[in-house]
Amino acid sequence: MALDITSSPAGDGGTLATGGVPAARRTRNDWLRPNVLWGLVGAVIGYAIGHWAGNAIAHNWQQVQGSDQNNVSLVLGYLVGSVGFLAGLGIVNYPLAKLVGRQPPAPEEAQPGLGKFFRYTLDHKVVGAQYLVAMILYFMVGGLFALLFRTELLSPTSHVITPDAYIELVGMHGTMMMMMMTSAIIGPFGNYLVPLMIGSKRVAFPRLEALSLWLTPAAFVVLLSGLLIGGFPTGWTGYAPLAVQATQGMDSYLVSFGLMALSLLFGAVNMAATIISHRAPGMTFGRLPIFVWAMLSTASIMVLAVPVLFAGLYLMLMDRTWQTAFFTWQHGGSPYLWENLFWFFGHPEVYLLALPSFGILAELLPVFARKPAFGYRTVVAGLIGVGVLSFFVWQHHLFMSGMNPDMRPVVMLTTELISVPTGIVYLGAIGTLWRAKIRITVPMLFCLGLLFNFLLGGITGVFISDVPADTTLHGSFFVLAHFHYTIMGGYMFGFFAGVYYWFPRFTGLQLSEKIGTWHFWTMIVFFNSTFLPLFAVGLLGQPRRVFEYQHRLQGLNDWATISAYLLGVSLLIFLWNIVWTTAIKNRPSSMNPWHSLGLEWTIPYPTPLENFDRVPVVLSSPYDYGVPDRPPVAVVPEPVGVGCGPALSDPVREEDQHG
Amino acid sequence: MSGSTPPSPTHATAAQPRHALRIFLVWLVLSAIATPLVYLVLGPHLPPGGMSDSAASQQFDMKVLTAIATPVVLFIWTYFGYALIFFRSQRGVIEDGPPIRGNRVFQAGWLGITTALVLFLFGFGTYELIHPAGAGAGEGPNPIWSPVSSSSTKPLEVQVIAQQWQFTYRYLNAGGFETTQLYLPVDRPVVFHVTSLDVIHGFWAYQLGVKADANPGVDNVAFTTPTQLGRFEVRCSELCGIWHGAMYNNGYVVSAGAFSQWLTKEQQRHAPDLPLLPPAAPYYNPGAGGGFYGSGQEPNATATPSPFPSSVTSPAGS
Amino acid sequence: MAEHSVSDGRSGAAAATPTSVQDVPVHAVVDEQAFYARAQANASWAASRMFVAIGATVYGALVFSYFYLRSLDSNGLWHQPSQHPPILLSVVMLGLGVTSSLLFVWATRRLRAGRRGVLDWGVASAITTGVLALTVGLSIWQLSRLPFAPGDSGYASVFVGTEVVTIGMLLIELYQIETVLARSIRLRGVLSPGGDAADSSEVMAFRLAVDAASLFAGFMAIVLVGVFVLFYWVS
Repeated sequence: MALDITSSPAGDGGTLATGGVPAARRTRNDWLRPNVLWGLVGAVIGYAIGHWAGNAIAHNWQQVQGSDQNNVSLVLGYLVGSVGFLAGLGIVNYPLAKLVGRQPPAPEEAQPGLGKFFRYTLDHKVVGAQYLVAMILYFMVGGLFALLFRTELLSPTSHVITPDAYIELVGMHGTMMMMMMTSAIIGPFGNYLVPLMIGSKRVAFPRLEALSLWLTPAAFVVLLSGLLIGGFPTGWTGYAPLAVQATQGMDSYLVSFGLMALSLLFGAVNMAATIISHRAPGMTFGRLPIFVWAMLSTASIMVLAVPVLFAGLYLMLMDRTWQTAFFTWQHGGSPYLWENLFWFFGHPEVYLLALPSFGILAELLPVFARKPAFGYRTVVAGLIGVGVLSFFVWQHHLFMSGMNPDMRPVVMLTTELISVPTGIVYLGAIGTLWRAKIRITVPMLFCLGLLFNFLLGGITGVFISDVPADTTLHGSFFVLAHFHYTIMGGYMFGFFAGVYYWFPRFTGLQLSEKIGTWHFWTMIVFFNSTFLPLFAVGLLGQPRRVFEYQHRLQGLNDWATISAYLLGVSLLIFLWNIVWTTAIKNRPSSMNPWHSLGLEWTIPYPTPLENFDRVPVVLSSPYDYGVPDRPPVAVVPEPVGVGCGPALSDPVREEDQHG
Repeated sequence: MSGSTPPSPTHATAAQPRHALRIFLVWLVLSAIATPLVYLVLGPHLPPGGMSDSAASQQFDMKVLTAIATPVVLFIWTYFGYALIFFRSQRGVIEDGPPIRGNRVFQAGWLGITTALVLFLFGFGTYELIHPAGAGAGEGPNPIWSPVSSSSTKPLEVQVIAQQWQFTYRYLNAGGFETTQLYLPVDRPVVFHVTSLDVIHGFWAYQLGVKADANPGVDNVAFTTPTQLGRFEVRCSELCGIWHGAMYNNGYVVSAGAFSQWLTKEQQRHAPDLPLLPPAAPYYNPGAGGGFYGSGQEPNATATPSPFPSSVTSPAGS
Repeated sequence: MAEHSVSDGRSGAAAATPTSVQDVPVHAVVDEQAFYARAQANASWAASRMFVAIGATVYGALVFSYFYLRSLDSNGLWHQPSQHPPILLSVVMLGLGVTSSLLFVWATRRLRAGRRGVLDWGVASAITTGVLALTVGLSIWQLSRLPFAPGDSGYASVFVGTEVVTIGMLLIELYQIETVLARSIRLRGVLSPGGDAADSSEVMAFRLAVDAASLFAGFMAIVLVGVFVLFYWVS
């Protein structure tokens, strides 16, 4: 069937990894082999064991008996349950086998059909597809939370849901979107496409990559389970005394964010190592697709920023279980400590969201402008510059906190300076579109939407970076609208551009352009209609995360809420497009529907298990549109001694010849 | 190959209309119209209004930022609008554009202009931050930008105590009584000492342009001078638990005479409560001591003399 | 309207571009086994350093907490003089942890230099494994009977927090060394000087794992000294 993402030529599985992985075995019944269901069984068993252990350890602790809430047993239940989930999936076999020096058994590979999507697999293409589905799921769930609490904001004073439900939903929405969605581009597109783009047959660490995927459902379930035990009242930022004071739902936030941090770290290490070491001959850093550069920059930021988040979450967990006092000022701690640790991660985090979408933008514009990427080196330097500078701006979240007033001008400078490398993205876009031959397609529309939204998001960011203006804007809906413009309007538009653009690569099917156009126009109209009024709401004095607000702001809030519903409808159109394309129409697309020069489009669909027959030799940049006598992007050399083989497909050139 | 070779750059330049000039002219006209409109028409309506010196300075700040942002946004819109109209391929035809990989002058100019803009904004923002005493933002226990004490009037010291989920105010120049009402005299500098008894809150006096986080164990100082009579909203600006949204009240800027009347009345009304309160202090430890909300805590080290020990004993109304 | 036929890429399109295909240097006609062996070696080199960077950043956050809370001295409770973990036990643990880690690093260097055989290295690794396990046990024992509660002061909090992280890190080090030791035992026939297939992928994977473990062991030796200095010297 057309959804069959990887072809599975029998007998190919044995050569997947050089680490001496033996050929795949396939003996047992499908249902008995490790899969998601066994993972769930493992999770339940693990949770029970962890819960029991926590009770055994801490049942007579003073704070447990005093509060009737045993955080230790809950946290251990979550952790052991997550391990059980991974064990049920068969992920734990490898580290256990290593303990006795055994050759790690390879997970059974390369079955036809959909079964492999519910399993632990080492094929980066399957992992990418799993990531894509997972991310769309998380995004939709997070969006539903938003619709629920926007409903509450229809009226300034009368209530649809209770205040605690409201604050839980706000926290869930924020955490889901900021934490689960950090992987929304690096997960599906990074994992699937980077090996194809750099001409590699595999990723460097397929097990780490798969682990990074399978930690996300664990984090997702743990986070959602927080709703059953009262949620957490702190929003996604988890500020300290409130988080120490909060009930057990806080633990689900801490554990799930911690699991997600691990997922990000493992994914990032694999991504960076793959890009550094697995580039095909001729794929120099000067020819690397900008998307891959963006992935490298993102992965590098992750490696340096996420551990600080992990440490912060761990300290908070210690405060809540082992009764340390990191964040309790009466005992020598400080709430500022959390603010610093969290935002030291938290600000690079927003660039973890911005950079991948910049990468997609810079990758797609040349294709649809049919011109070389403008200022390649400058744009790459911009991506790296954003990454470097992002570590020096976190204190702008603390402008009102009362710490270090003398640091304010410095942080204001670094924050505003980061708009220079960010502006380079626009420089690249302007140059690429100059005298171009623009084709308007759905991915291109989303790129243009990204440029439109991110402009407003970026400009309003300058307002917030300015301390005097920030005195009014900080913690208001203005900030909320600002980062929704950069994240939803930038990141998610980039994500959808990627989905539409690479869907034929993933599935062999091209999403309907007609439905896609509807999706785009409804999305950009209702997105702006939702969040543009929220700038005004913030300017007029409404703080974030409130369920009651000034009566004079009801009109604007109602407008935003109704637009938010329509935005939800727009996303339903997207889902309908997927259903229509895959289940109803199901007509295979051409191999290179966008006529791109990218290496990833030179491979036939279904993508072979090892991507390339032989390691290709890259001859030119993937952006050489319009260059006279352009060599093919890559050739596949014949086996040693025979000489050079045919060039990989080059649709444009062929047309040139036909024309 | 013959028909498909892209036209040589020189040839193309001759044939192309002068895109850059056209875009520049459109942008220039739009900016020349829009920027003054934004500054003069929208500007005076920008928040937070002009109720205090810090609010007025923030409004001016936002006016300038908006006025600078306008031509930038217009340039991007103009350019992309123009590009989408004039740089299109024919429908259904796949043809390549000219292989332009970069343009040194354009790239250097872009970087130069954005950097210059950013440096200007930094300088302007810093001036605006220092000029009206920290721009109304919380400066922590040791403020480095205080109002110039040119006026003979002593500043009014108000301690804002946040707790889940209300604000109370102690008037430190008037014996340190505690009330839920916030009245300020016009044209007299006010010093807010913002602290919290439990979690982090945010004291946001919207129309006054004052915002300072209320941290437990911290005396966060913010300055302003109200310049207009009227009502202002106080809201909590940091998420502090389920009733965060309900944590608001109103404050009033009144004339000096009305203020002193109000102060005397409130002082008498709250006199019986005063012995129950802990002595006014920069911050309080609810877990310790015998006061109504724990004991007051002296900071371990303060660079500037604290108003607390002396002003508590000073006579009412200064 | 142009024809958008897309071929599968195996057609004769390359014939139109003879110049550049000739440019493909002969060495680029890839020996795939060697290519991916080298790639995997590079990846392992990079990833082991990234994991050390991750560990260092976690410790960086803890060191930041240490100095931050110390500089704030909230409520005068950064540290009270009575709050000290027993010094003798700590010195013993430091000595065990550092010497065993360094022993492994040293043995690995000798193995890489080819001066001694795998048996020599194996003995050193086995000793390291045992001593590290002992160190972890002592750390847990020490944590269970500290003369102060975790929430007594900033110092107490950071101490407990850091100790738990260190135990976790030592367990990772222990796991790494134990796995390469177990691998070496299983591969002893291949690894011995006269063994065949000296360049097999198994041997290469073993070497990479040993290098990664050695790097991490060296990192942990530095960390242990740093943590000791922080909590017993600087305070």
